[in-house]
Amino acid sequence: MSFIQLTQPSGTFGAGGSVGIPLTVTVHPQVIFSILDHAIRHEQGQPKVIGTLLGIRSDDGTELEIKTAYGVPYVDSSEEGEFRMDMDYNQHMYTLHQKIQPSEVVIGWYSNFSEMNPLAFLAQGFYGERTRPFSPVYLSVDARPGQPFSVQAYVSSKIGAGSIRPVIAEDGSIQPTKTTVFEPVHTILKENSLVDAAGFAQVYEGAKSPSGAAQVISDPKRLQESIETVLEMVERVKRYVNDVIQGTAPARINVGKYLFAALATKPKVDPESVEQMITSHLQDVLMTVYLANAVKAQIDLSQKLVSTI
Amino acid sequence: MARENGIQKVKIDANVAFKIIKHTTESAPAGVSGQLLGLEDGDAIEISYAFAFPMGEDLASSWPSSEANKNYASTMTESLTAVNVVPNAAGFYISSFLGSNIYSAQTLDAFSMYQSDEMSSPVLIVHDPTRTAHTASLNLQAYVLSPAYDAVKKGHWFTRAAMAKHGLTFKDVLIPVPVEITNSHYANAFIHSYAETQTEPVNPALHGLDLNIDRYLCGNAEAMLDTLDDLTYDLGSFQYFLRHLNREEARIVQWQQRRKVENAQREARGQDPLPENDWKKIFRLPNEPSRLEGMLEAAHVERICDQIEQYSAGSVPKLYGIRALLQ
Repeated sequence: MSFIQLTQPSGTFGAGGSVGIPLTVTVHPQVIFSILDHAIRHEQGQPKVIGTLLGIRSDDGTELEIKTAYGVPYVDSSEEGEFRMDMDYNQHMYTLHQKIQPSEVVIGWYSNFSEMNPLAFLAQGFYGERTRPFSPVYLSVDARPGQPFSVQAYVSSKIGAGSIRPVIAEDGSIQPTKTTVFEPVHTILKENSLVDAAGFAQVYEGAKSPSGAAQVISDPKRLQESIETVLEMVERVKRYVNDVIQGTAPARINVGKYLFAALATKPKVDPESVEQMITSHLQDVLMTVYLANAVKAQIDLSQKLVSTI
Repeated sequence: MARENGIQKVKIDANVAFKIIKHTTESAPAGVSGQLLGLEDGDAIEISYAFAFPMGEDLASSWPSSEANKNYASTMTESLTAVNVVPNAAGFYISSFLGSNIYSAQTLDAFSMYQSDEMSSPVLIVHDPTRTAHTASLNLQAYVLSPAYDAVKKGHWFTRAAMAKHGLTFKDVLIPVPVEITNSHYANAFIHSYAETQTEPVNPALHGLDLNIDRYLCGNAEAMLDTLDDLTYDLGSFQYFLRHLNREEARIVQWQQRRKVENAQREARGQDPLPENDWKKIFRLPNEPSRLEGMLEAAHVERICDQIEQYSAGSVPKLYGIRALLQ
């Protein structure tokens, strides 16, 4: 038997030594909040902010997860055509972040503008030096008023002839190379975990209120909301089914199949065993509560006694 | 300076909330801490930024009051001023699991560390990732140190007399303060657009109806028993002190009676009576051990009991609900 070994074509098509062009970029909402916070803190007269993205790259470099963002100051004197990122600051902050989460590495940069301007090419050059051999990812978060909010990740590749690497002058500034092309990458905004989702639900409350703020509420209140949400969903499905039966709404096969599947998940169990199961569970819970109450009373008493002896 | 009305509200930025969530969740189940930056505004504290502290080998080295973290905090704060973050420490956050870490000596140390002229009552924010995951409802709580605790601490020794004088009991070492999460306009724009693009509803309501209630209750019950052991140990050593004290006091009374009899005899013989207060030179009363530890343990147990009650308050209706559904 003979084997043939096929090596995956590594992403060498984007010249300039960039390998492993990411296919998907996952961004956690917390990164966006961090970027927006930086956007509010922008320098006087410098509304565009730039910062570093930290995250995790999959082994083959095709999937990226952006997990942390922090701002980096830069100098931009357009008249003289000079642009300089404070890469010492970046390195310093990176070292500080590494102490918290060593698995996160520099994978690119962000800004709060979406149009491609010379700044983007320059910053891409700076970060390219930092993420070699991978191409840095550029995440654009556009929150300008009067426009749809957009979050989009880009990678760059070098095309055409000319110098592949950006030319770095002696003072540390980078001369733009005109051969860089930004390509959008599939960007997914997703919560990391249920805990994140719970956090998001909390800030969503704030977003719905006119003041933009919401108090963190207690668990029973949240449970009540959960039940209300489910009841509302059931109500909506009931309405839809009734409408279909009466012929006022079009019957959609997919929805029907889905409803059937959902109803089928209700287990067929003997009512008596259910009763028994639930009762024993209830007793366990109530027993624990009873125990907790007894302990509480005991502690109260003992601490009172200690202070009166 | 303890103020009359105290802090009524802690406002935190959405960015801060997510920074805390990320740090505490990723390092679970290890206890971690971080610093809060912000300003006092009347009766509220506004937290505008937060950063994490590196995790040490134990609680003491992971907490803000450790030497390494003090250095980390000053370096980080200095760096953050370059991106216009207000470099004013407003308190700290910690992660807690089943109520742990909150009532610890390290936490109280951190409180006194953050107390300054600008920040009269530093705030502590606690996130319990396990509880958030089990109830699908963000469990962020804020606390400030009670003025009574402060007053007793100034006397350096937690005796029963000092505690009674300032009215400090284990129930009010930390005072809970309502937490409010504030979104900037940018954040609001993002949240709305994000909520629209998600196929699943943003409200993780369905997870909150999860019936897997045993695990959390068991964990709490176990934690409660562990803490009770510590508490019993503390009470044991306190009782040892009391017995010792009683024994010494009995011996003093005995001695005083003997001296009285002796003096009566001396008087009858026309001699000068011996001083009756000499017992102070002969006997030494044992020092009262600090009540601080026992008080913290009692507060910890009570917290766990409260957790069990609150969690069950949600579990019982769920069980009744599922019974109705299955019948």
